Amino acid sequence: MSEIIFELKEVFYSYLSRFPALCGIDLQIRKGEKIAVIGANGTGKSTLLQLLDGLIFPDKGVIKAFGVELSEKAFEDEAFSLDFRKKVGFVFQNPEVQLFCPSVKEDIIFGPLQLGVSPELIKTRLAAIAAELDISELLERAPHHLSIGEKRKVAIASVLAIEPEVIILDEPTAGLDPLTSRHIIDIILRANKAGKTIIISTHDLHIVEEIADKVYVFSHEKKIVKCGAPAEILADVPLLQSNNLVHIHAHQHNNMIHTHQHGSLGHHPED
Amino acid sequence: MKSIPNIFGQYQEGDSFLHRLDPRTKIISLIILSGVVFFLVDITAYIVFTLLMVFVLKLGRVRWRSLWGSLRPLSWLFLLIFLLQLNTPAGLRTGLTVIYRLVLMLTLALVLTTTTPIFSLTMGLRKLLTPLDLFEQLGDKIAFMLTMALRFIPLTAEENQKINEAQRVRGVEPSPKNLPLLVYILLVNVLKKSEELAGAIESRGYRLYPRRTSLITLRFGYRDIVALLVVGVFSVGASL
Ligand SMILES: Nc1ncnc2c1ncn2[C@@H]1O[C@H](COP(=O)(O)OP(=O)(O)OP(=O)(O)O)[C@@H](O)[C@H]1O
Ligand SMILES: [Mg+2]
Repeated sequence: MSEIIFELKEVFYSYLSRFPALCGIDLQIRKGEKIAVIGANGTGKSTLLQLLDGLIFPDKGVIKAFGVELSEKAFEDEAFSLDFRKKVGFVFQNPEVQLFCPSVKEDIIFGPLQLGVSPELIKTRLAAIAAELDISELLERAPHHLSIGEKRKVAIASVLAIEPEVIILDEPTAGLDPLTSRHIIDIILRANKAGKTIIISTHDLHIVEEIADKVYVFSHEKKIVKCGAPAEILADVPLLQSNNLVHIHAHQHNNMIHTHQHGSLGHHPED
Repeated sequence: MKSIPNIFGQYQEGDSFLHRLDPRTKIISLIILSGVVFFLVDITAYIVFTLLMVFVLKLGRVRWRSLWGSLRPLSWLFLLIFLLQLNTPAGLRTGLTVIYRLVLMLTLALVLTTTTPIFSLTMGLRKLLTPLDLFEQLGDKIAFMLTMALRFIPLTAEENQKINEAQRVRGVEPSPKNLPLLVYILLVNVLKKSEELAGAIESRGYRLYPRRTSLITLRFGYRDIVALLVVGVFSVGASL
């Protein structure tokens, strides 16, 4: 088995010590895995991802990354910070706040510049990533003038430019048209093939099978209720229903009214 | 969504003399010439400066339309200044002078932004601030703060627009009465965004690598020497 990258033991987190967001999380993530975190709104997915990126720290319990316990203290060590930021990249749920430079180009090279990558190397990376994500025309534009899909691509590009070992993506396909969504999934899969560990949160059940080999389901109690292979999770309809991931829906086909569950799965089981 | 008027212009692709100047030359020239505007006294000086501006606009192939586009949204401001000045002794004349000086300075800024991509503009600024790095990387910090300020202007404007729309949908028309509430919501939202923004900046390793490097190397060529000489000679001439 490959090395453990993240390890969480009994992790609790609450915002402002008043709003619980994670209540006792245990999990392990290994190098090269594709992990999906699914759950209804407000079940703590984004909070978990921020913990993994070392942006917030548990109230109780332990989170370890690369064998080191993550804490404010650990990040005070510049060498550790530099190493961690090079290894882990995070694409935020809201690209609006992730992009802060005056131009797309600057946003993409921000990470590598801060992390001391050489200018020649940055130039090559920039060109390659812009071509891969099909955003070469956007390089001189102001990020906040772009469409949601374009912003999301730029946000992903700005993280890919760091060439991290672990890529964390918070709902990367939300609000995208099918083609762009497809494109982004392909990029993520390619990164995984190249050996990168992928951690994704999503509501989009029909991408789960492809983007994950392990799925964690979060419940309204802000806990993991089930963990397993995508096929196993997707087959557990009662679980998905009780967690707002699919819903029962009545409608009409050829004048025959019938009911079946609907979710992002989309297809009719009996078709 | 209605977009924010583009008072400061937008970069226009091109390869004119001005496009090919080093951004530092353009920034310095802007600062010097803006200073000169305040020393213009008699009508001849104004005419000469105006002619220079026309020449510069031609040199950068800036369209009259974009000049008009950036001045028009400010017409209410011009009117206000004019009306305020009318109450003073030399009213009419001072009013016109102040407005014309503003127009000249805005034109200068417009020339800079239409002939320089934002990228090299920030890089030029960054380079000009380098000497300040001697004091705990101050130059770098200022450049970063400017970048952030640039980001927060549209962010706040967008947030404001969203709140306005949300209120209107619920039948609340903008009125001075609910201004405090609006400001409060705006503040909370912008603060929340800035918190997230701080996370995004940290996540991408801000300031972790001690020695800052830059991507493009700016080239200071013979054109820049010519341009700075012209600006220098002109400024001295104008202030005599
Ligand atoms: N800044 C904050 N301040 C207070 N409470 C917060 C904050 N951010 C999140 N929460 C709360 O923490 C809980 C988990 O939120 P989180 O954003 O992690 O959920 P999520 O699963 O990512 O939801 P979504 O699918 O809507 O993105 C929610 O109950 C939420 O209200
Ligand atoms: Mg979320």
